[in-house]
Amino acid sequence: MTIHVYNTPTAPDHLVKDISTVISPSPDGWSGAVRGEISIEHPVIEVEALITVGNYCYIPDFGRYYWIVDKNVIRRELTELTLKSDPLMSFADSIKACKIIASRSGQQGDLYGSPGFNSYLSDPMHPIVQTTTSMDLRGQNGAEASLGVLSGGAYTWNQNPILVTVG
Amino acid sequence: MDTITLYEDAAFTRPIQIQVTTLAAVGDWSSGTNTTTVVGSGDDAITFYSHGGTPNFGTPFSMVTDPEPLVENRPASGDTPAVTPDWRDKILYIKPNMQLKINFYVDSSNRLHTGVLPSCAGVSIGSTYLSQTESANNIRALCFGVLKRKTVDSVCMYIRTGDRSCRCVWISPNFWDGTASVHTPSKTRNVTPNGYGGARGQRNEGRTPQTMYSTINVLSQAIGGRGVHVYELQSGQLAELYSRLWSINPLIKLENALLKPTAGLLSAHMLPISPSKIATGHNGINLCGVRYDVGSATYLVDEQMYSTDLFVRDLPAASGFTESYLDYSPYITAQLELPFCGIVPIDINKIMDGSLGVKYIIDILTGNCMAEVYFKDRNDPDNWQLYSRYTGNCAYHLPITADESGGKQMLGIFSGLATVGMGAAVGNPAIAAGGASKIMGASGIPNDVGMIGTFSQNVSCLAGDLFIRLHLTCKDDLTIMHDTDDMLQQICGLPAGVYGLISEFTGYLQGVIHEEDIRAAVGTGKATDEELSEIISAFGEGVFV
Repeated sequence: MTIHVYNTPTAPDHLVKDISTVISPSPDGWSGAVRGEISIEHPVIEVEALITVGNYCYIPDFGRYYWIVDKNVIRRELTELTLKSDPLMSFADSIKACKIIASRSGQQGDLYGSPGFNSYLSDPMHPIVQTTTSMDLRGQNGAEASLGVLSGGAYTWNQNPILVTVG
Repeated sequence: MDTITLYEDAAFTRPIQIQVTTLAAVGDWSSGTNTTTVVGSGDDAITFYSHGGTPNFGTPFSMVTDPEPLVENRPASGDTPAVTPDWRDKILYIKPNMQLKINFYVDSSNRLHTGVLPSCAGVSIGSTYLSQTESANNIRALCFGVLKRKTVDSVCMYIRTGDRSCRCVWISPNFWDGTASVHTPSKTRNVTPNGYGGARGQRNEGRTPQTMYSTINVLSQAIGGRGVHVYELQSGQLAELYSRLWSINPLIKLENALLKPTAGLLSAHMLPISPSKIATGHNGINLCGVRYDVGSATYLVDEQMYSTDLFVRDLPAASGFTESYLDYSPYITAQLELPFCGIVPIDINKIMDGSLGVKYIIDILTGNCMAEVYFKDRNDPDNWQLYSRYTGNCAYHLPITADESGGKQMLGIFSGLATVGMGAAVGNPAIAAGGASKIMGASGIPNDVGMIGTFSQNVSCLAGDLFIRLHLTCKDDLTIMHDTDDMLQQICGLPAGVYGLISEFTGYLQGVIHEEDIRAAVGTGKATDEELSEIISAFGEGVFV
């Protein structure tokens, strides 16, 4: 079987990994063989090459991408690779077609149907502090909201008293 | 072009602004002929009637147009407006954007001439047929506009004489009530805002002018009578009144003792606002049937209720707020500082992304005030809704005293001196210890000193600057987590609560995938059960897609 080995910097919790750094010969890859029964999820493959770098691989015959969890050099041109399947990358296209009930998202949603986070939902993970601010009200033409009489640039009480009399 | 704001409702919450040309403020006119302009607008030509050259309907106003000359045309049969059945005048057309210059006259006594002269249009100011006038001192605002009625478009002058009243004086045609031969201002109708078309070119079909305001105003009924008078004392007048109440003139002292002037004083208080007032025409204060001269012109308050503008604060979410759940209760608490009414809590959920409005109504007579708080909901941004009303009192009472002893304190001192055996020639009250009880009453106020007012005051009057303010206590994001753009959002996302295809998301995604959905998407037999469980578990913890 053919095996293509890569060195990916992408973390396991990403759906799609960066496989631009190819270790194995391109485009044919390396030849590998299995001995006895193997698990398709956790195969052990002997590859006819000395492999000292690379943490990721693809086996076309299995249709899966794998993390290289261990390398044992048997002899100069024979390396035993212990693999662990990566179902996220292996089935990425199918996963994208799947529906999800999203509880958290790094993408902002909008009113036009694009799903994403809603900033109006409270977030217990958000650290917050308390501040106080004051706001002025304004009347017509931007007049300040004061009950006083404007005199000399400041608002004061009306200095003319009101007198209520009879007779 | 200036504006005048009128209101559709008695609560003064739905303003209408009329685009007219005005003089900037009362007092901007001078004696003699003044000129202002009305600019036509709207899709229709504005039609109005001129009085030029007509006997019996003379007017102190004259009009010219600029730049085009007037187009004259007599009204055809059937077009005669019902309001002026004796109409003889001309129809003049003012087209959009044409300027109409209106000349009006203010005489040397500062009276604006508003009414009809039963003389020809060549007005003779000062003639025996002097037109009706309005004292310019009473005019708070003056503007010109176009009143559109069912059949007649009229150029009108609007006179605002109080906070809540606005009179319309028709320049063309002048108001005619069909009975009197001389127009009088009292017969000028108050016109509702709904009757105004102004320069907006809107027609109001068949609306009857109504009194613009409906409110309590006993003062307007009492003014000039023998009942209650409410004066706004001008500078120096209180001192003049005191000098009369505490005169050392023996005859005045006796008069005070007989007339008891403080019995005629119901209240003396300071208010923060300046009320609407009219001149009495003399220099006196009426007390118990006696006019006390205070040395300068006195003014009566003519409107009992004073109302302020609607003071507004808009709270657009996009301006200064986070546009998130942090903008709402309980993450923000709001308090409204209302002078004399207190600091009241406001439901931030009602005003966020909307507006807050406050209007005060103050009773000049008592100082009682009411703050009406309105809000505009973000889903109904065109209408103010009443939030609540808060009450208080803004009057600061002044104790006013008067010497009503008639001079008998001196007699009391002498008798007290006699009691302790001192000679009548000794006049020092400090010595007359035995007579002290005849001078001071039990309350500490001398028995023969009249007094009104109280030493117990509204504590709220001590508060400082009389401003209405909105105070918000907000909870904001700690910026420490945002040292790079949206770091928190990138690392662990934000609450979503939505349903969609994984392909519609980018970046961090955490959520629930149903097993049957992932099985259907991947295809039967293509992935092992362990792999499917791993996919579901990975999205449960968060995957970057």
